[in-house]
Order: sequence, then C-alpha cells, then structure tokens
Amino acid sequence: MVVAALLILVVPPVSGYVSLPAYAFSHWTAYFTVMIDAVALIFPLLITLITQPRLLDEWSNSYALATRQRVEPARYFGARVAASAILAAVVFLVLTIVCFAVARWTYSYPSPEGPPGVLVETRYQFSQLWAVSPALYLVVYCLWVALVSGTVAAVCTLITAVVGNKFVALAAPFVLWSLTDFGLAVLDLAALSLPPFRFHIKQQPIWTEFAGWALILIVLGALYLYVHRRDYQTAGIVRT
Amino acid sequence: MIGAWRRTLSPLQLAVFVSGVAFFALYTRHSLRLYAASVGGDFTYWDVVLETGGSAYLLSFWIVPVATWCALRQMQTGARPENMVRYATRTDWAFAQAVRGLPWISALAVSAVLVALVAGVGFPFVWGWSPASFDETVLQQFPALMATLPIPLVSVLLLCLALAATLAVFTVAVAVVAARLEHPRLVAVWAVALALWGSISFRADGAVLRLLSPSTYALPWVASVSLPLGPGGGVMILLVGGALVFAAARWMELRGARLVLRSSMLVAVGAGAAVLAGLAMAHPAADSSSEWDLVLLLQGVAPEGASLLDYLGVVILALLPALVVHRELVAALSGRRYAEMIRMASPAGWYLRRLGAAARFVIGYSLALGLWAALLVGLRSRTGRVGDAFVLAGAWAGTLALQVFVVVVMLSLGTMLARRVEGGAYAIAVVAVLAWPLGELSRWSPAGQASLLRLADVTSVTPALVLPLPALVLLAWLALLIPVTASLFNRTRGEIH
Repeated sequence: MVVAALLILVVPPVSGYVSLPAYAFSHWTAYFTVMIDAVALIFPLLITLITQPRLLDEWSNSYALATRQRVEPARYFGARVAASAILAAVVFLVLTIVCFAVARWTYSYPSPEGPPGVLVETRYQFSQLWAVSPALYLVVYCLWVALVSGTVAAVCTLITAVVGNKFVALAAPFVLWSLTDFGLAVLDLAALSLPPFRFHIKQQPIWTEFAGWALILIVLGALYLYVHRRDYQTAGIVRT
Repeated sequence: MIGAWRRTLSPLQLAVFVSGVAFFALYTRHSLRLYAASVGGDFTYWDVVLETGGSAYLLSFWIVPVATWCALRQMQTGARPENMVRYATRTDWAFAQAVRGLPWISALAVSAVLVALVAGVGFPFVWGWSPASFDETVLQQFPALMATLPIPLVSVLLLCLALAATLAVFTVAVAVVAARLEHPRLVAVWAVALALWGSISFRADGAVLRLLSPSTYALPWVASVSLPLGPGGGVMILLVGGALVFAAARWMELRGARLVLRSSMLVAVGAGAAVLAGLAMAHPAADSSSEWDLVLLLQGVAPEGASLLDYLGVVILALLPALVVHRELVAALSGRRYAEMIRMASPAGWYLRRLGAAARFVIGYSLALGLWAALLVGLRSRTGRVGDAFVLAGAWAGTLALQVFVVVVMLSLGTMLARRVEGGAYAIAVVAVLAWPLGELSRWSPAGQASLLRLADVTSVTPALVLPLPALVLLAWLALLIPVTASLFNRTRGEIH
C-alpha cells in the first residue's frame, strides 16, 4: 500500500516534468492536466490498489466473524469504509497539490516571446472560479478531488465486501467506471461524465460535476444497504 | 373466440379507433388538396390511400397506443398460471399470444386500411402510380407516397400485412414480460415504454435507431429505404427473425436458460456486442464506403486525435474477455484446482493447458464480434464493396483475438510476479495506460493493437489495405510473455496470496 501510494505521488509529477520539453503549454494549468492524464485514465483502479489489498488480506478468511464478538459489526465495517475513504482522500489531495506545485514552479515556455494569453476560467471544470481568484480555484479543486476520491474508495470497499472473487473485487470498480463513461459518451452525455479528472471534455457548468458524484453516492448507498441487510456477512467479508 | 376478443377490443372501442383514423384521413385529404393546388400536382386515389394508411404519425400516435391498450387487456386476462400450465414453456405461451391476439390485431390493421381506402374516394382513379408519386418535392413533403411496389394495390395489401405482423410482434414482446408472473407491474411499464419508443424512434436519423424502430417494419415505404431487402424486407425479417428467436428462446428455456445466460461467453460477447453497437451509434455512417465505415467504427482513435470514447471502446473490448478468463484462473489457483496442479508436478504444463482452453474462448469471442461488426457495417452502409469490409472485419477479429490473448497472459504474469491477486490489477493498469494512443511508441505496445486504425492504412486510396504489423507485434509479445509466465509458474508453484 505504501509503495503504491508513493508511486501515485511520484510518477505523475516526474513524468510531467520529463515530458515538458516536448510540449509548448500555453499555461501551467495545461501542463498540470498532462501530468494527471494517466492518473485520470485509471483513477478507480489506483484507488483500489491503495485501499483494498489490506482489506482483502483481512477478509480472506473468517476473521470478520471473530471480530463480531468484540465490536459491533456496523461499527467495524463503518470504520473500514471510513479508513479507505480517508486514505484515498489524503493520497489524492497530496497528489493534486504536488502536481499543481510542480507545474507552477517548473513551467517554462520554449519560445523567448512567451506564451499567448489564455483564459483559464473558460478551460477546465471548476476553473470558472479562477475569475474570482486563482487561489480559490486551486483550493476548491484540490478539495473536490479529495472528496470524490474518498467517495470512490468507499464504493470500492463496498464492492470488495460484496464480491467473493478477489480479482473481480479489484477489477470491478475500473470496469464499471469505464462502462459508465463509455455509455454516457455514446448517449451524447459526456458533459455528465464521472468526476474529478474531466480534462477530455470542454468546460461545463459546475453543477455537472455534482451529477456524476451524485451517481457515485447512489451506488454507495445501495451497496451499503445491501451489506447492512445481510448483517455484514456478505461473500467478500466472510470467506470460509 | 369472438367473446374473448370483444373483451380485448369492444365494438365501441373499435368505433373510436376507426373515428380516429377517419379524422386523420380527412386531415390528409385536406392537406393533399391544398398542396396539389399550391404546386399544381395531380394526386390519384392510391396516393391518398397510401399517404393515409402508411403514415408514420398515424402508426406511432394512434395505432400503436391503441394496440398497447389491447395487448395489456389481453395479458390481463391471459397471463395467469391456470392458462400458462397448458403450454410446455413460457416461450410457447408468449408466442401463442400473437395467434390469440389475431382478431384484434387484424381488426386494427384491416380497419385502418379500409378507412384509408375510403379516404381516397373522390380522387381520380387509375390502376398505376401517378407521376406525382415520383416527384422529388412531393416525396420530401409526403414520403409515404413513395412507390414501393409496381402495383399500388399490392402496396396496400403489403401495408396491411406489415401492420398486422408488427402488431403481432409487439404483442409477443409484451407477452414475454407478462410471462414472468412474479412481476405483474412490469408488464404495463414495458408496454408503455415500447409504445413511447415507437413514437420517439420513427423520426430518428441513425441507421441503428431506425433498425430498432417499429415503423421500419410496419410501413413498407420505410422498410424500402431502411432495410436492405426492399419494401417487403420488414415482414420477412419479422417472420424469419421471429421464428429463429422462438426456436432459440424455447431451446434455452428447456435447457436451463438461466444457466446459459450466466455463462462467461455469453456475458462477454453480449457486453462486446453492446459496446460495438454503442460505437456504431456514436459514429455517423460514412458516405464513402463500407470499408471506411468499418475503420470509423473500430478505429480506437478519433479522426481529430485521441478520443476517450474510442479509447474506452477498444479497451473494454480487449479487457472484458481477458478479465473473464483471468477470474477463472484466480479462482482455480485459490481453490481445489490448485491441488490438481501440484499433483501434475508441472505448474507450467497446467498453465499452458489452461491457456489452450482460454484460446478457444477468445477465438469464439473474437469471431462473434467480427461477425457482429461486419453485420453492423453492412446494415449501416448501403454503398461500397461489402466484401472488402468483411475482409477487414475478419482481420480485425483475428487481431482482437491476439490482443485479448496478450492481455490474458499479461494478467497472469502480473499475478505471478507479485504472487498476489492484486498483481493482476497492476497489469490492468499497465494495459489501460499502454492502450492510450502514444504515437510511434504505440506501434510496438502490447496493448491497443486491436484498434483498426493501426491495422488499416487509412492514407491508402483503398482503405481496406490490411497491414500485418499489429498482429506481428502481438505475436512477438506472446512469444516473449508465455515462456516467462510459464517459467514463473514453475518457479513459484502457482502460489498466490
């Protein structure tokens, strides 16, 4: 888990810095999006890899049954979901801050006359806030990434709790994420694609970010209800 | 029999239906007279009849809603255990509803056509088509006037038959859901959804949407432009397709349909077919040729550069079957099959035998998707050389099989390297990143070669030119990865945590 988290924190800024000479970015925020591109492709898979292996080990036998003697199942399970969510939120919050910082401080333009003027506030999701204050945009976006990462980690934990096959539990969030984004694009609803790294579409109203998050919350609620109704003894939690 | 159909469609309801059609006929007569006066056209009796009876508006907003009501009434009285036990399977019962509904179906179809025949009275009668029927301007304003057959009377008979056949299929579609007695409310929702789909889809422009629209099959003039088999194509497809679906559904129900539907192959092929259909919906059909249409469909890269839609399409097509295969491998290594491998004393041999079984699965999957892709292209493009498109689809299917196989081996290699289940998840991350178009680097990558853009030379005058490089790259990766993975199996004895 520590190795995976470190890789996630180090590889994007380093790969962005290495590829900087090959590009002529008009602004350092564009440089940031290139850094984060690969992370955006496999976002749910990365969250799974930093949060789920420890849980898979813990739930690989009847350990969860034994804990019921000592702690209330709902509390035990809630703690596991919360721990996953906090871990993912912290890792991705730090990643976003590091990438913004590296992009801001290492950015350069190859031509001596400098980059053309760009309107950042019309380019990315949430960057409408740039017009109010660049710092406000950076803070809100970093917190948004953390919030969505935490929610996705909670969903990943619930999928691990529900699915009996360990490999399927790890792969399912990525597959479901890809299928959802693909379906939305086919239906010409790419504007509602899943947050938070939506650099592949043009800027949309801010509320569209919350539409995808609401969908994730609905899935989270449904899965939590399923696990709760089975008294926290689903196929993924108790493997006999 | 008569009593039964009167409960479904009473004389009063039939009178209301006929009044609605008559009202529409009067409106159509009036519109045609006005139009003829403004442009100096000369419409005949048959023009009015076919414009009235063959109207997509009449079908979608009046005939189908009334048919929905009738079908629901029929299901209300017929979908009961005491009726269904007289049939061997639920499929038999559902298809029998088309025969049981014939009285009201024929009443609706025949009365609509009869009213249309009466509506034409007063216009000049000739046995053949009038010159106005072929006028381009008229056809744009009143497409139902299109001369679908050489004799107008045959057109009217075909219209009546197509209407009845479509309503019968509609009834069967409702009955399929009604046969699931445990969800009675679902029938009404499904029937209304079908009716709404009929009223939305008849104005659709997309080829795939038109194929799924009831108006394509109910109206011969729509069938003549949307289907490759001419004006009678709709009825032919309904009859032949209905017979095939009946045989397949009955076979599946008798041999444990639920078991079959859960089988890995059907899930993978179904998901892949849905992804291809989604790509076909997202990409407009090319005007130039069917080969170019296929390249557009399976390219994996948008013409203007990297596109998330195309990328996701190619990744899902290659990854899903590989995940299905690898899931079985992980289950085998974690379960009793592990002991079988140890007894064989050669984990590598055990793994290679499993790869052999996986190869049959992968080839079947790729062939099915290749055929589906060729079918989609054949239905979309009505120009160009379809034979070349089939060659291109075949080459793509072969490359897809190799690509899936490479991903399968990469997942095993990741698992064996980490000696943990999450090694497979790391391998998925590698595959997903390498599948992203990275220019020259992508030519040699083990992932993303299933994109048809890497297989076909789009700069060539004939885009059907198939380049062997992607297949060779994948074969080279296989030659490298399989021995490494097999030796890792021997070294680790297939132990994973």
